[in-house]
Amino acid sequence: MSKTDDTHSIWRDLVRAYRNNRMATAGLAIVAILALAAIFAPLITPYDPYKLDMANASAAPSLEHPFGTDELGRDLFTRIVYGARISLMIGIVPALIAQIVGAVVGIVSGYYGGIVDHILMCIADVVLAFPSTLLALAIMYTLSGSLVNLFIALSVVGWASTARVVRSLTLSLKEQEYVEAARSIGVRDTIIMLRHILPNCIPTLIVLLTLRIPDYILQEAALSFLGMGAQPPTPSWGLIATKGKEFLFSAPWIGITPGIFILITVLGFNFMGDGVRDALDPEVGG
Amino acid sequence: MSLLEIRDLMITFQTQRGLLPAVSGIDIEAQAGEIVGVVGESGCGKTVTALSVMGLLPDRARTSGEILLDGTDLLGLTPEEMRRTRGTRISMIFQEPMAALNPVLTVGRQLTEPLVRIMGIGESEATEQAVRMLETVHVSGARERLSAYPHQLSGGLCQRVMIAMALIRQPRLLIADEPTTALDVTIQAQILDLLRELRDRTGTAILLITHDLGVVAELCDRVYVMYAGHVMEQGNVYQIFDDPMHPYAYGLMRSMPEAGRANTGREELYSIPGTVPDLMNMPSGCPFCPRCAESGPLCREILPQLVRISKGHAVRCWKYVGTHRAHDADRTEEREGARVAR
Amino acid sequence: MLALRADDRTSPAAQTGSIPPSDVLVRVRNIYKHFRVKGGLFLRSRWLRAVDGVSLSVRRGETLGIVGESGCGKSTLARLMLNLIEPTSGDIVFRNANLADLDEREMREMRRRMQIVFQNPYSSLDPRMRIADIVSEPLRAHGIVTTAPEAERTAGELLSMVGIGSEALHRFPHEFSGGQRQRIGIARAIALRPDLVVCDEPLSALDVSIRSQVINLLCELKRELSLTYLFISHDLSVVRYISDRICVMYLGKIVETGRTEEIFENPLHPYTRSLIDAAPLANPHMRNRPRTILEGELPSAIDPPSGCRFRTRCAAAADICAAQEPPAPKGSKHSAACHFSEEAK
Repeated sequence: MSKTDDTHSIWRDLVRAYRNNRMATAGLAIVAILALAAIFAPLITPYDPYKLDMANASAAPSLEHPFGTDELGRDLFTRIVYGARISLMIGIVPALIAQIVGAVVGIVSGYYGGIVDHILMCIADVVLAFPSTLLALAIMYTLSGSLVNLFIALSVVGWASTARVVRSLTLSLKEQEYVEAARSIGVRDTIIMLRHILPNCIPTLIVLLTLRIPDYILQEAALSFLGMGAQPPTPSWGLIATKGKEFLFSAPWIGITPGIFILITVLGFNFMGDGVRDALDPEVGG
Repeated sequence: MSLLEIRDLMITFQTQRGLLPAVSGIDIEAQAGEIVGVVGESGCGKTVTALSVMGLLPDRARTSGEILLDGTDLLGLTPEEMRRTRGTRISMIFQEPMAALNPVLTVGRQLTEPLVRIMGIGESEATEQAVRMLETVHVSGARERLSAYPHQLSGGLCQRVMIAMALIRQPRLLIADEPTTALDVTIQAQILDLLRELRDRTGTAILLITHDLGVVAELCDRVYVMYAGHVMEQGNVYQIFDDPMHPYAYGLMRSMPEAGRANTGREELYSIPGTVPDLMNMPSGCPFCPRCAESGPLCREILPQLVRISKGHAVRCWKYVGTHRAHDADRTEEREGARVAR
Repeated sequence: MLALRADDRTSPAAQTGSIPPSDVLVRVRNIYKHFRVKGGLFLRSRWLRAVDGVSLSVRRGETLGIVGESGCGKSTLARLMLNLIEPTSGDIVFRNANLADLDEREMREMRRRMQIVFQNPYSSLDPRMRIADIVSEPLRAHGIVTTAPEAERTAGELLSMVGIGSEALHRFPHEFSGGQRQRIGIARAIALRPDLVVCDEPLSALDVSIRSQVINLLCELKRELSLTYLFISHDLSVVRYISDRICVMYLGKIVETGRTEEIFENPLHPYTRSLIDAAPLANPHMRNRPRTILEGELPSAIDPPSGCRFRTRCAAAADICAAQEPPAPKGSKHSAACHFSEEAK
């Protein structure tokens, strides 16, 4: 029993365990810098991301244009920073939606079991049976490419795996004696799910979320690259990379810069996700 | 010379909260063919002691003192030498037999593997030895059981297989860590009988780690009562049970509702107040002092030495330092009462 | 002696001079619970007969002990009595209401009258809730307290009844030892002032020196709140200390029932006798006492032996034991499900 700190909480343990992990801290730093850049994009970029300047088209990196310009003369640095907005949004919003839907489906399915469980898990299995990129591509094809539709497509693809994980977690939590205790007291099922099962799923949900975000950033890049995601002239990293493909030999910076940023961002999120997972694991974090 | 001699053993763990003293200088001895009980509650250091004898402590444990087995200090052995000592000279059985057996290997494989791999005995000879060993621990249909997987056996059978595995290379010392805690009473009685019989037949010494005073009384020759990393009282089983001297020891005895005792009326059961101290925040002086009804100012300051009461019987309590006879007389009445109840 | 009664099942109670039948709090009538066990990929599933035809009644104010080894169905029986799982067949009548007939709202009301204390003090408290919330949860669930300060105040009162100071209110379960957690679990169980408290092995995870504290606490609360206990344990010495009457279970059935002294002084069923013999005594002078140690292992509850279920391990088994099932013990008179129990008397 700790006598000194009354406010001793799981969060404090978590923060301490996280801080001791150097890779995770580096990941957090990368993500934080990107997020700040995305939020304050207009303040740190000297140009308008949409403004054409044909005189300076495909200019190599210079003091004026640190990353160079693209084939239409737009400042690449500016477009990359604005692209971070889109990438982070694409990473976070559908991942959050998928987590929430997956958590609700998983908890309901696991808690009630029986026919409800059967039907919900059947639907989840159908979703999981398709390769995720292919399914997202099919949805985008049907809905036509736009940012909102990209949100929808990625959410639809993602909820099922979360639901599966949360369901099995719920199955084991349901057997815990404190859940049985709540039932024996006469607590309503909805309250049991909200108060006892959901809070105990949250650590897992956070880990899944942080590991899903980089996955979605990659998906966005891939879909945009294939022309099924964000549409020009949106400054999306995937789109910039597609264009860059055409000038790979004449102006390689157009294609390579967004590639490097995708790599760094995905690594940053992955380090962060691993760190959160380790910190929440009682064996390691304690 | 004793078979096992633990001298001034100290074990500390490095934890996030700081150093945790699990065992604070204990001396334990076991002669060949003797069943020695180490009894205490959770956190008293009994299991850690057992693991240190086996050389199975995790890396974050710091050990000092000596663990002499037939005169060799086990703490001075290299990991490779320790590995060879385990199994041939000491082996161990655990509380959860089901978890201690490998679920994907047959019982036969697990029994014969050390014989074939380490002792270089032929496959068929090893099988014969395994069958004989299973018969020794009274597993019926021993030959057929060799092809069984652990999950096909009940808890009691698993524990018998564990004992067979532990004894197959005829160790001098068997460490049994709560060997019957996970088992039902009727199966527990069978296993206790088996351990006693094996000791009588093979002369293996047994170090029995348990929290159950009943098991100690049924099986052990000598007993060490541990509390918070210290040996509080030691003696032969009759000295300890007939005449517990340490307030903790007789508190424990009196707080057991005994199966042999009729329940007349609803007199309150004796209980030791408070809880086991946090090893991170140990009181100075005697660790039992905060829960002890008889503690004085000295108890809070200094940890007493073990005081010799009679041959083999020693107590770590200020009550008996120098003047223990006088205190003894005061308590005669109390002990008479306990004996009548029994 | 009390006047005439029609129900022959209760008349033995009168013979032993105990409580009138109107004071029966719970009556379990011929209850069965079979669990489906999935076979392998192509095997058909089979049924595990966890509780297989049990009848008993618990009288108001008594402590009924249920003893048996693992797999005898005692915990399943407890969960059946609290309607936490549904019986395969049979009835549970609690305060003259058949639990099977109650709708959801009525059942929730009924839950106020019955509570449970669990075996494992570590898994029975939600690790992410503060002690105040854990202890006041029953009161909030039934709308008895609604505001946070009120909940905290009652939680504090309940904690003081089980010997825990109010500084515990804002802490989390992991900051407490096993014994303290068990006390918190008990505080939660008595929060609604129930009639029946089912204690499912409440002591088995506790240290010896803590165990007697909790036994005393349970006895004290019983006196103060006039509780009725159903006390489930594998530990004979504890059951003997705490119970007024005892039911001994083996493989899903009750094999012997009677008052505590009767069971211990003159066990009628050979299983009861061997249970008593097998329990280790904390007295080294008794270690060579004559006793029978049961051979073999518990048979599977999926495919129990024919006739008497104990016959495979019984030294006195005869032909009749395999052919015919002995009649279950009836009522509260000391009796056993054994063909030879009359001779044992």
